[in-house]
Amino acid sequence: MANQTSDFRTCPTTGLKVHLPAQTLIRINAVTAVVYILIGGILALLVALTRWPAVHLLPADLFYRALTAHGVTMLIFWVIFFEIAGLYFGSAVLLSTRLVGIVFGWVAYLMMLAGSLMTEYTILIGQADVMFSAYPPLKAHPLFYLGLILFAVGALIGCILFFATVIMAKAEGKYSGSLSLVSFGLAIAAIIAVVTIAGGAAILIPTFLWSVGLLSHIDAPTYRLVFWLFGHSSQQINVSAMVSIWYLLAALTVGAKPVSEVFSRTAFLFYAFFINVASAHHLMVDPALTTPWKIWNTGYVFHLAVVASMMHALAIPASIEVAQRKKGYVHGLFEWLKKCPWENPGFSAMVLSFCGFGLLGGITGVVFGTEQIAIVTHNTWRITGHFHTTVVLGTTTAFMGLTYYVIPLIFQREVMMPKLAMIQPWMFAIGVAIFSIAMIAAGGYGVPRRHWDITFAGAPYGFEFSPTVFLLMSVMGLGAIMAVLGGAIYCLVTVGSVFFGKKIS
Amino acid sequence: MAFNLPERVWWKPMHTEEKVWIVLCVIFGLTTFFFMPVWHMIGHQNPPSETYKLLPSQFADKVNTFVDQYAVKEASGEVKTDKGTPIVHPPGGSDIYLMGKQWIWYPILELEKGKTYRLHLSTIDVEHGLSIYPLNMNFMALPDYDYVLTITPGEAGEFPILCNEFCGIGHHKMVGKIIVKE
Amino acid sequence: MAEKKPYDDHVPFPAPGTLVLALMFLAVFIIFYILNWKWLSMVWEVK
Ligand code: HEM
Ligand SMILES: [Cu+2]
Ligand SMILES: [Cu+2]
Repeated sequence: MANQTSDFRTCPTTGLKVHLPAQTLIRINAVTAVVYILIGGILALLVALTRWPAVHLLPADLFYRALTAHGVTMLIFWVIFFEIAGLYFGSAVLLSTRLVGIVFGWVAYLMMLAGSLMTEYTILIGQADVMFSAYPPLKAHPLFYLGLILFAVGALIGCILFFATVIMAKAEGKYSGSLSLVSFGLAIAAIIAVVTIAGGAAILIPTFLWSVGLLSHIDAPTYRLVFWLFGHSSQQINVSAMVSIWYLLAALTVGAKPVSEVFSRTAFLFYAFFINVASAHHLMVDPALTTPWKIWNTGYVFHLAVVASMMHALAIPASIEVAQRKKGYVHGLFEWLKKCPWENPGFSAMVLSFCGFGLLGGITGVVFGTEQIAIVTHNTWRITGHFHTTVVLGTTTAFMGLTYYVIPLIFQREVMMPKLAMIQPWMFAIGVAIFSIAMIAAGGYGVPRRHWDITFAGAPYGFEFSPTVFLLMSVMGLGAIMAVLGGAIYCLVTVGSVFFGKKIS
Repeated sequence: MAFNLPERVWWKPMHTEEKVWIVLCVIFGLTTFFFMPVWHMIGHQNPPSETYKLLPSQFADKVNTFVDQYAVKEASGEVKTDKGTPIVHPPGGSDIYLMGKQWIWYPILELEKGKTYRLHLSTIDVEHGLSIYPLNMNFMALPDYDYVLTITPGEAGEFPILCNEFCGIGHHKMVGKIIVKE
Repeated sequence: MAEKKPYDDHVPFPAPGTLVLALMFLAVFIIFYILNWKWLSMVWEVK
């Protein structure tokens, strides 16, 4: 059964052999991801319009609820459903092999779906107004934790299928030698994912037991340590997956190939080896940790994971430049850049993601996470701005760009409304860049994150932020509207194409 | 291409420029790393690490003793308060206490500019985040842990303190203050 | 394609534009890093 040829079709554009049961799984995971980004985007708009003081849309309780839901929906459900689809794609499709254990793929999907619905429902009915970080002693309804645990176990099964597929493909002689760079990067992401999910279980299970009354106490700093151990490592999954997608999109859009495989692969290996206790930079101004511990873990061992990203920062544009120069764009230093296919959403999304992640996200991350500098950044909007440039401008934009290739390759449909698709990455990325930079600037004045009212109307004593801050908050609101519109176009084009796009046979 | 299998032998040496870039990045990484311990020696703003474990009730007792001892009195002999929260004026160099609880910072501290204090920070319910304005200095208050900040107010004035860790529905109303006298 | 050996150490790095961009990136990084220490040094002393 394993090698029945009827289970496969050959992709006319890439020549890859696509395993049909795997294709169905990729489709369902990707569609679910898009549904979640749609929900998360609506919540984002509500949250952003509330934090814009001139609008101040939601009442306090709904704001905190919407903020909890936005964080969970986006950071966990949108990103991970998409990543699971990406892992099946990066193993079965890119290796032209079968996905091992299709049944388990469905089990994984159903667990993730059930878990995510359970958690969303608990938040929605107001039983979990605790933010996605859910620091005890704040307590949510047990279903909130149970849903997350179910979701995590489902995702773990998905990762295991990825490894099983890669190993089987090798055993069946589908490839020999090394994995392709993209699959290699995804494998690194999957390895980190397994470690991360184990960490998640280690803290969510006791917290669940505590919420049902079987444990009497959760130690606050221990929770924070272990929570961010997986909470931050999971960002390293996103980075690794995103960088793999950059390489993939560079190949698909301009035919780039890595200038030096050694260089790029070494950088990926650094991700796996030097994450260390990644929670440290969330805990710089916490009690209960020693200074040497903080310093050692801040830098993920001398910032070697950062060095890895900076290596990709050289390798990826270099591969594009080489490919473009081969096409004859050799004048001056930058003709190759001008002559890039900027109208191709897959390409523009890749470049925007790359520049945003590196220039805004990377720099702010390293600087704000420094042990001492955290004194003036911790829990301010600088942090919220920082991670919207990484996980939104970076990861999410890259995923969006990939979608424009997944639609023809996996859904076998043409992308509808190509004009809208063309401007979509620009609108989204520029919107995100605007609101994130405004957040970072406002955070510099001390604007706190997760805060309903920075005019402190009902508080015993006031504090008046400077007018600059209010200006920045308005810029944030406008940027957010632009980003949400860009996100809405993404959902429109994707859902439209998948269901009504012209069939490619 | 990147998604195609690599050539059989892809293990080829890097370009000189690639090596130089790695070296530059590693130097930068080492600098950012070692500058942290260096700032502990030459700088004056370092996250404290002095911590003691204690029960919330024990912390509350200490806070109350502290308030009784140093509360500022009106001419009438009553404790001076502002919106119901007592004002406390401890001597320079002493141990002082700040307690977070849903949703106030207790008490109001009246300090002297340029004097160094040992500020004990904790909470008796959920996590809170101390944020001193307009300086924008931030420290966590966690239940069961007494976090000692050795802090020196550098200027006189009234400094509102906010809560910057979500602590329930009243989170945005949790504003206290520190007064610094010349 | 008639590929010259791009991996050969004698061949110069085939992407000079990228190299310039990368160095500019590093410069911005360093400036932002230094600025933030400067801002930090302006708040109250604490240890
Ligand atoms: C259209 C785009 C988006 C807009 C306008 C937006 C806006 C916002 C705003 C205004 C906040 C609240 C900040 C606060 O009050 O502290 C926020 C929080 C957050 N957002 Fe987004 N966001 C967007 C997309 C995303 C995406 C795609 C992700 C994840 C992949 C994401 C992850 C988060 C997280 C994790 C939080 C923090 C929640 C918390 O503090 O508990 N956002 N976002
Ligand atoms: Cu609080
Ligand atoms: Cu609070």
